[in-house]
Amino acid sequence: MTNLIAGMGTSTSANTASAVGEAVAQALKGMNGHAAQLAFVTCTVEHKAEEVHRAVREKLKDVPVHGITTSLGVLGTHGVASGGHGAVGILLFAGVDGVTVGAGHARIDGDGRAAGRKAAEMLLARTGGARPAVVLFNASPGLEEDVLAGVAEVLPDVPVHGGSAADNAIAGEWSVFTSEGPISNGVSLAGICGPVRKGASFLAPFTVTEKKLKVTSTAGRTIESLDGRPAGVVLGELLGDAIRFQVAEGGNVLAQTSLHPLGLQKSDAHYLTLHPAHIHAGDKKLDVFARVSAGDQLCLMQGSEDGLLEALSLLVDSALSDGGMKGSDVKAGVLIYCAGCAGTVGGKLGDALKQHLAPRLGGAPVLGLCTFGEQGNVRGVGNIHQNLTLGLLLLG
Amino acid sequence: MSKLHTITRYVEEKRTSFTVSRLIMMTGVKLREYTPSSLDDVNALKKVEQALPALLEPRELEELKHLLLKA
Repeated sequence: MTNLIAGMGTSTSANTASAVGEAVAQALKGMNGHAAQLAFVTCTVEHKAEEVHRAVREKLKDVPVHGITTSLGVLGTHGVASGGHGAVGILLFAGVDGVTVGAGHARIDGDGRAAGRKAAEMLLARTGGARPAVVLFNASPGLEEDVLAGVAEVLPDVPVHGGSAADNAIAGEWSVFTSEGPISNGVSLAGICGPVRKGASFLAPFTVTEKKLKVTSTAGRTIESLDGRPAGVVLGELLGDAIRFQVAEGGNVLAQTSLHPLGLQKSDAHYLTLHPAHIHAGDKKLDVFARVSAGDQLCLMQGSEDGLLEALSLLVDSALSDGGMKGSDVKAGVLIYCAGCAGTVGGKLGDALKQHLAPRLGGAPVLGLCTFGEQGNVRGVGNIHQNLTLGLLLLG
Repeated sequence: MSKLHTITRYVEEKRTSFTVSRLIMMTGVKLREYTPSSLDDVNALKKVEQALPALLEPRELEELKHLLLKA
């Protein structure tokens, strides 16, 4: 007997209302007549978020809405839903026999901590004060560490699972979906409360190299210097020809560094991974997508395309083990796959999803997003934000 | 004829929509906004041409080069 019901649908139709209609219709089939209590909504930015939200409202009336835009496509056990006119994905939830779901959100107006607190307070109010077993965390990129800190003030020790809103061109076209509509800079939380089984995994499939670097100056998510020298120059010495042009002229290094993150050791087994994003022309400072501090000791890490694909199998093993679950126990899943990793593995991702997820999860619906930052719970560390990471939450 | 539109159509037909999205992510160029009659941005075209070898086979690059000469 399960206490959670879920159904999922995707569509690559060009017309937004049709795409949402198709995705909702598919998702409702999996609900077996139960009324949806939460809609986890995603789409690529070829669809306007306002139109997606309007169509969801028309189809699902006042069902609480949670979600973000995804980069590249909508992932699932079917592979990748991606089309020339974009893709839409919807995962519907309902709880029975004591399981409840709810959502809260807030705009981020320069104060991430306050936004996290406000969203968590709204979530608690909407679950009738019930403390969630797990929180789906989705925010716009930029201040995730602060938002997590704010959430923790209201919901201490509640594990989160999530990813940051994304677009295709890294042009700030992302949105966060909330019950009141999409917002460009905000956070949405969805809580699942009561007797629900859950298993989560959160991993960055990279190995540590012997190359160590000490952070000597930072400003937010910009590493100004490593070992006392301009950070971009130091990274250039490690990666050589791959980023020689960007070190000289300044520029985007996301593609060149997606298999070479910087790592900050957080526990014996866990490294917080940072994706080098951009080298500044002139002063050679280095932008990354997560925050480190002066004095932190980093290491260069390395991975491979095969490693990013095979990690899907590890992710399933680890999440099932964490929840003490078998594949047949799983009723729904939420997959977070860093967009940088997805871009690196390219067309092989669809086959890997079919190979590693579909046969192992008993036909359960899994909604997967390609994100610009990932959040998860690490044992002994707590909830953290990092880059180039994969996460899987399984619910039963 | 827009060269960026020609490239987008070629990648979409020879590979997948997912590959076009990867190209957009790699370059920051909103390729799907280009129509056959769009005016190409020179810097955008340069970025896209630099990124293509990471996504296409040499024979495909050659074929695309011929198409672009006609565009």
